[in-house]
Amino acid sequence: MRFHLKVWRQEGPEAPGRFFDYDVDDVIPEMSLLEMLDKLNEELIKKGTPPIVFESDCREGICGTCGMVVNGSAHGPQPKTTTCEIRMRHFQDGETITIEPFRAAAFPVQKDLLVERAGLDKVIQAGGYTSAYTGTHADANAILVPKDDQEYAMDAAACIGCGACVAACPNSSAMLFVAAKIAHLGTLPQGMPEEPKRALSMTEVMQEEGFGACSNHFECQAVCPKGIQVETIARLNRAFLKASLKRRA
Amino acid sequence: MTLDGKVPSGPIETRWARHRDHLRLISPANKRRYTVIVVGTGLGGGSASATLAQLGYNVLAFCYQDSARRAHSIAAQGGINAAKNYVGDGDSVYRLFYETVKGGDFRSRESNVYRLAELSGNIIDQCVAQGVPFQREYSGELSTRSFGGALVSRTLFCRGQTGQQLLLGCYQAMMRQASEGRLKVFPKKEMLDLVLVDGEAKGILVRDLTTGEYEAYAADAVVIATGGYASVFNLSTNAVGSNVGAIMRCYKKGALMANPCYTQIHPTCIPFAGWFQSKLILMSESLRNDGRVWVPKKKGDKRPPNEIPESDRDYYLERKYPSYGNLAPRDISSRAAKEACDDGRGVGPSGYAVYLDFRDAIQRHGRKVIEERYGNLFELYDHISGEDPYAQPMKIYPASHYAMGGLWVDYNLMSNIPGLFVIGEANFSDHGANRLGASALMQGLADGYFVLPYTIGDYLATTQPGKVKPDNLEFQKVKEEDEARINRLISIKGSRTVLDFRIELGRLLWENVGMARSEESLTKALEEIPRIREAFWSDLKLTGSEKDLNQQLERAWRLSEALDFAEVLTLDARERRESCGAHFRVEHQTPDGEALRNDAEYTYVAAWEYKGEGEKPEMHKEPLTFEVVQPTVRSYK
Amino acid sequence: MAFLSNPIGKKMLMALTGVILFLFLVAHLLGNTTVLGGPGWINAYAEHIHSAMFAPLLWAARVVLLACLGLHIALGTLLFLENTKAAPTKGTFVTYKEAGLSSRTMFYTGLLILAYLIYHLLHFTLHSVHTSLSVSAFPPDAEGRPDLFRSIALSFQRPGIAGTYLLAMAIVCLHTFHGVFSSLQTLGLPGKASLPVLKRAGQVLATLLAAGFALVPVAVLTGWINL
Ligand SMILES: Cc1cc2nc3c(=O)[nH]c(=O)nc-3n(C[C@H](O)[C@H](O)[C@H](O)COP(=O)(O)OP(=O)(O)OC[C@H]3O[C@@H](n4cnc5c(N)ncnc54)[C@H](O)[C@@H]3O)c2cc1C
Ligand code: HEM
Ligand code: SF4
Ligand code: FES
Repeated sequence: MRFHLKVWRQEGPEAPGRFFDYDVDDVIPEMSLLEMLDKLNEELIKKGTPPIVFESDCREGICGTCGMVVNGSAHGPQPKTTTCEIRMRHFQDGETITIEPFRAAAFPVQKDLLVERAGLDKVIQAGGYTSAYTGTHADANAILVPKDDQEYAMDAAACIGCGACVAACPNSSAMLFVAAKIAHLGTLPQGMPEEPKRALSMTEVMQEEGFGACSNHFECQAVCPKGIQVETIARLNRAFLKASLKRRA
Repeated sequence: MTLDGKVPSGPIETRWARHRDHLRLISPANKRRYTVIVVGTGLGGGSASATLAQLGYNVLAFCYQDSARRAHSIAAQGGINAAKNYVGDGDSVYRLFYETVKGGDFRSRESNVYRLAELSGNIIDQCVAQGVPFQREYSGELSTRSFGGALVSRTLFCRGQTGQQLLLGCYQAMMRQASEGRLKVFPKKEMLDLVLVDGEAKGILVRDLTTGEYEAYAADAVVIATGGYASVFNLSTNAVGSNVGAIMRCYKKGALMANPCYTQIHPTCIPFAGWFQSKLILMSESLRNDGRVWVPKKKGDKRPPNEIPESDRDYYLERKYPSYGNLAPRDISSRAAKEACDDGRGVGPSGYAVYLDFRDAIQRHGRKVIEERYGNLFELYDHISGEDPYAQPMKIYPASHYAMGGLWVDYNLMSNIPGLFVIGEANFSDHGANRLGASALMQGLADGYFVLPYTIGDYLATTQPGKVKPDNLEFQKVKEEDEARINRLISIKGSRTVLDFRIELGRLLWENVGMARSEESLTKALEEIPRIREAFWSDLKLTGSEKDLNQQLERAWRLSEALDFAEVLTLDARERRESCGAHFRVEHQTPDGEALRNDAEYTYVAAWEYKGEGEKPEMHKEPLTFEVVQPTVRSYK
Repeated sequence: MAFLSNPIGKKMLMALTGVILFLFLVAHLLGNTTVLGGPGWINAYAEHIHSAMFAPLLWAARVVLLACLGLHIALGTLLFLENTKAAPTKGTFVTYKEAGLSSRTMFYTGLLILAYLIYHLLHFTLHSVHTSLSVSAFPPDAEGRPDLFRSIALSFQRPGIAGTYLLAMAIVCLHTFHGVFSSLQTLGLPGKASLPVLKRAGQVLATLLAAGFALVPVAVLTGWINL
């Protein structure tokens, strides 16, 4: 297979960026998109051109490191996949593929396709945990957890923190990311006690870190590689309301 | 040098408790005067930094990813062992201990393994308190499943994302400490070197991966938790960034490298498809709970799997190991797969794959149950291979996966360098010559939550806090060395790329130091490695500069260390003239092809000491004694 | 104040005021249907709500609505500015998957509604535009009430005015097409199963409302309602 690529390249955070055109030949259908970029990079290095900078680590859809906008969609057009999971057999031979970085004010571009996502860590620092000490705890079976609750918590806990939801959101809101964490912890008995604090402070810090508010566009859900549902956002809104009323009282 | 493992004596059941009770403690008020560096934020480093910070130490945590949450522990799928005996199938601390020692083919320290088994239950309690959503039954109690090498069901799991959930538990605990200010996380900073002051580990030198700047960090102790080195084989289940750099730098500063030849090849990965691949993807071992492994009986049988009748299938694991069947340990399953393929009965385009078939399980339990158990793994397989595992069997093949070897540590997890602690996959401690499934997560968390936080205090109590500052001359010296090395990489200006060399090295190791090793193949590798290294240092091509974000340079630095490491690994493999666990020397096998140990001569830990560039390292032996479990022929038949 | 400085807090007030405005529209629509009953109905209805008995209520409603509108506009503008700042550009080739025209144009349709609202008030409440068509320009009806019916019918007989109102209704429809469900989501109502149902229901409701309003000018234009 052969492809024509339009790749966003940018020297640094302040530098202006633009699209560069590349042709890649001899692409094997089993290749992943990133492996195709690896191949292109090899060719670029041999020519003495700096290779395209992009991040990845696990390359199996779980670490959340990779992330680009491929043909206008965060993590590419296929639903429920990360960028590193995209295989070239899903594209038409000869197709033009555009590749851009995740874009949001909270995710400044460092170089080419690599963005800085430290804001997401800050949001978790604002309460995305249970305050359990390392030490001795009750036996893991001492508190029963209904299976449905555990499954629901697990669905939400599957978030890989990739930030695709932010990239896809017209407001660059991180609501789905926050809602997923709050749904995960708040559904389990161990996480419930701190839910009010979590709902108030994580959303506040989300705003401080430069993420927008939620306008319920639901673009996040469409691109989320882990299928996190916007219903968790409704749940977060309820939790926030309850917490605010409690704070009043 | 005599190696003192500081292993306590007395009845094994109480060794840890007694040892712990006699460790020196630091008063709460004094703890904040101590600073500890933790390199790595996986299960080992993450649990350690959160716990140390909670205890009151100042902790500086480093990782090369852009967030602590992305350490490769996140990719662990199958589960974590705990001797909880929740299902009443006869599990106990002793049985977990026994199976782990046996699984490691009697090449691990009994005391360490016992402690690990003892702590396994606490880990689960801890994780549940953190909100880890382990799979549960309708009763609300925890579910368990079986893993290779075990006769009981003791593995807890979160669908196929156990590592992710456990790591998020650590990461969230870290973030809590970070918000309280005692823990500082430094993402995107790569440890380039260990800094010793008066022979003790007192800091590290890092390179900021965004700016390319060198930075010095001083502390009262350094903890290395940088994971394993399976990536020296190029294609492995590890992350593309996983590397041996940090532990190699410690080795070159005098820390001993123990049993580097113990590398695990995981039996169930998506098969190799070509050198364009950047990694191989694991299909969790848990799949072998329900999947049956087979190849056609006839050589070169090209019929589609569903058209091959029962009578023409060879369920070779069930045939050869009737009592463990598809749950035979990894080393054994991997070799059996290789054997079948070498025999010409492999499947798939390359002939190097075997089937993992769920047909019977789906018939027995229904699709829904299988979906619940492995849904996301099936989805992953479908994404990657484009085949639906509900409709046809998966194709799998062994791939490089895990490092049992690593830096040598004593019972306190301290290396031979005072103040240098090593935890998680980076150390050699608990798995002997072969690790059983679901026990690396257990070990990482045991080390970080429940062992290191006690033992490090014992060392710190002997030191004066804050003695060394980053302006110490040693930091300057180390920086000059490392800067020179990096500049050398940049200035080669040859013609071959880092990836080119990485593939060459990986291929050499896979073919000669992989699943089947011989005197001949190892000698060949030992001749080839220096040649590749020389070519690397004279013909490498990099672009860009060192004072910038330069991913090729990062990879070149990591590979330069891997090239040096490969030699120690191969040397260790050659010197161990026996087969044990994952280390299989073709000269040493039983008539039916099983590993043949030589207990009389090789019941020891081989710990290698660096002797300078181009010099042959020196081997030190730590003899292993077995007081509780008598080494026997390891049989899974 | 903490509530309002929080992004969800802002949105909740937005949703609450939006719902109140929407409910007003529903009430307004119910009132409007009296036009379909002929001059007797609507003129009676108009006289009724302007009567001394209802005056305090009317004023209270006006104050509440005005406050809601003010808040809704102020917060909407604030959110719009903040969100634009958070998302300077989304790249060159963005393809939207779930966000529709409606959700992406809320601020602009809101502004157009505001413009329309002013025009509408100037027209029927303050009588300062189209003065020749305002109630004061006509003699009272047979029962001595202001002849609102005549004013409406004559206004909408002009295609320009009718067209403007129809366009405005299309815009209201667009705004509430996303707005109705969005406010339920913001207020945290949907559950896993009900979410898609509520979404669809919100869209249907918004369409029905706008269609209801459009009925009057359409009825006049088609001659179904005439003097
Ligand atoms: C695909 C896969 C599946 C697995 N499944 C299971 C399972 O089901 N059950 C089980 O028990 N085990 C499993 N394992 C093994 C287990 O996951 C690992 O052994 C374990 O997680 C290692 O944890 P760690 O903390 O030692 O290292 P890692 O999690 O690898 O963390 C290494 C850390 O070190 C940092 N680092 C490395 N080098 C540097 C440097 N130079 N400077 C700064 N930072 C550095 C990295 O950034 C990272 O934070 C699996 C492994 C893989 C690869
Ligand atoms: C009668 C008139 C109006 C009605 C019935 C109405 C109704 C609504 C409703 C129900 C919402 C949804 C709230 C939510 O998403 O939670 C909304 C959102 C919005 N409205 Fe209005 N509205 C009206 C007038 C206006 C006006 C005059 C403006 C002027 C600026 C405006 C601007 C907005 C904006 C910007 C939003 C989206 C906020 C966001 O999600 O970020 N609206 N409206
Ligand atoms: S919610 Fe989905 S898209 Fe957003 S960070 Fe988590 S996994 Fe990524
Ligand atoms: S590289 Fe880990 S999710 Fe893509």
